[in-house]
Amino acid sequence: MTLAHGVVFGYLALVLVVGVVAGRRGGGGVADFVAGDRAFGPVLMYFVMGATLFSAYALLGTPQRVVSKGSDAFYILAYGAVGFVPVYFFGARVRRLGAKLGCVTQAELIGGRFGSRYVCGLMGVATVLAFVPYLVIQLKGAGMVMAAVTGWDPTFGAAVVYTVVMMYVVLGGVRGVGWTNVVQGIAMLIVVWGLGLWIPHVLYGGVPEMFDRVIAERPDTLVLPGPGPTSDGQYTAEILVSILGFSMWPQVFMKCFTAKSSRLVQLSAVLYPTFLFFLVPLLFIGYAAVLEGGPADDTVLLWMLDRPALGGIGPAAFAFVAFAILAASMSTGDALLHAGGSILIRDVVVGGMGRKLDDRTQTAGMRASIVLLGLVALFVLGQSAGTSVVDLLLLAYAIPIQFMPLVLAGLYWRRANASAGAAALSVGVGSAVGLFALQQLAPGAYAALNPWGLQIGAIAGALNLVTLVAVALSTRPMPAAHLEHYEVG
Amino acid sequence: MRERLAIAYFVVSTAALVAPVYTTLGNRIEPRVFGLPWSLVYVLGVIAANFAVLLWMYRKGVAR
Repeated sequence: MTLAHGVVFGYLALVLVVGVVAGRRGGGGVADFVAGDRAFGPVLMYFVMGATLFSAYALLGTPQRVVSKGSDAFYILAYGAVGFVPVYFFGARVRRLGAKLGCVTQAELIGGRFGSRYVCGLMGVATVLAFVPYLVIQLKGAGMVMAAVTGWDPTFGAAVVYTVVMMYVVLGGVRGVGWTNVVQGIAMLIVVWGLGLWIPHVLYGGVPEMFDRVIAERPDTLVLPGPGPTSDGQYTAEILVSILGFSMWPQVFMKCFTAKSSRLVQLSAVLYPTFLFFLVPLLFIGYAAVLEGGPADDTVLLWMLDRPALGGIGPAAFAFVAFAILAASMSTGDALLHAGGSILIRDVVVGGMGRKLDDRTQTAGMRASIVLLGLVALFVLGQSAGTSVVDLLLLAYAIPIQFMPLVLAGLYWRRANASAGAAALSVGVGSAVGLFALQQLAPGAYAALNPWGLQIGAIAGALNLVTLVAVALSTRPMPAAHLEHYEVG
Repeated sequence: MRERLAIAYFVVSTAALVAPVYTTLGNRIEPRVFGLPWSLVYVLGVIAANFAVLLWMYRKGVAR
């Protein structure tokens, strides 16, 4: 057994124990399984909010983006700088309303505010559809690591890792997700910073010396438009569209319900920017790869560790990078599985279809849905060569943007009513899916319809917003007592 | 009032990260800070400023 085997399998065993043991502490009902009995403290909230968003895609994709597009890769820092700020403003109210009304999901709160079972159900269905490609990307990262460490087929490797994930999510609920995120977050922090400083030091004598070389040899990678090239408009659109959807991802939004207090949700938003500093060493590794002539694909991180100039520390570094990639994959994948399973039952079956299920049946249904969702993602991974998944991600990122007008209008605008909410969401989700289908099936017609190449999420979001405002202003507001119940206005 | 000021700040902060403000003020290599190129330092500076403003808002109880 190599060091990498020991680190990877030891880590899987550790998170399994941590996740299962953490889950034994709660009351066991839906509020516990989905929202941890609303008792998460500051450490859990910090890592749950941060680690959930730092996926295998971010870990593998950031150095890759530096190699392929240069300083365009800074966009991930740029949108992160602002993307989480809305949580500071609405998070405290969401936490308060959740406790008062017994809500544990985003769609449940928004569907209730709009008095619409349809809104709740459609948000739930759209969320689960958006989660599948996002989940497949996490599985792909885990499969890549397991293939590199064990030589296994990547789909089989992903299945082994995600069996562990499903076990601790099913048995541990959100507490299992939370405490494993603490372990995963600390692991990523140490490994990524360690490597990000070590690689430039060994190869060039330090980070400043590395940038001296980049300035001398590849200055184009330090400024826009870069080698991509990325136009000013593209860079701006990437950031603005990402900001719009960032705080609306349901697996993140619903963590507002898990906090011990409203103030704690705000504190998590305050501390979130510190998580962005995780990405800086990945940029350093990306620039080292630029100088070394690394590949412009998602294998570049592992490729860097094979450099002969790194000497004999390669195997240890490889083991810990494998560990960090697994941590990143699992910390996002577990949140997606947990949220997806919970949403499927709570928002689609109970909220949307109006089925009356007792607490115990709901929790059992969520556990079964988590396993089902995991199996679907594994099936999609096994069937796809990867390209179709990346295409589907474009649709996945367009979905949370459609929730923003409803969330903000629902929380802050008294005129927003059931008709407006239902019409706006239908137009937003419908046009996102329709434009995506057109783009895939008839690219020529899509290009004619969207000559400036605007992002699908932004176009659908604009139509969504216009519909919401137009319908709300032309119909009657909801009763004042209902609005006061939701603290609107 | 403080809430509106905070919202205005974050609108400005967002504008600072995209064209034309970023491309005019941030998209260059010099001056370097601790050896890092200005294009990266600029973005990290905005993150640090946002963190400071959020911390101030939290301590003052803005948007509770």
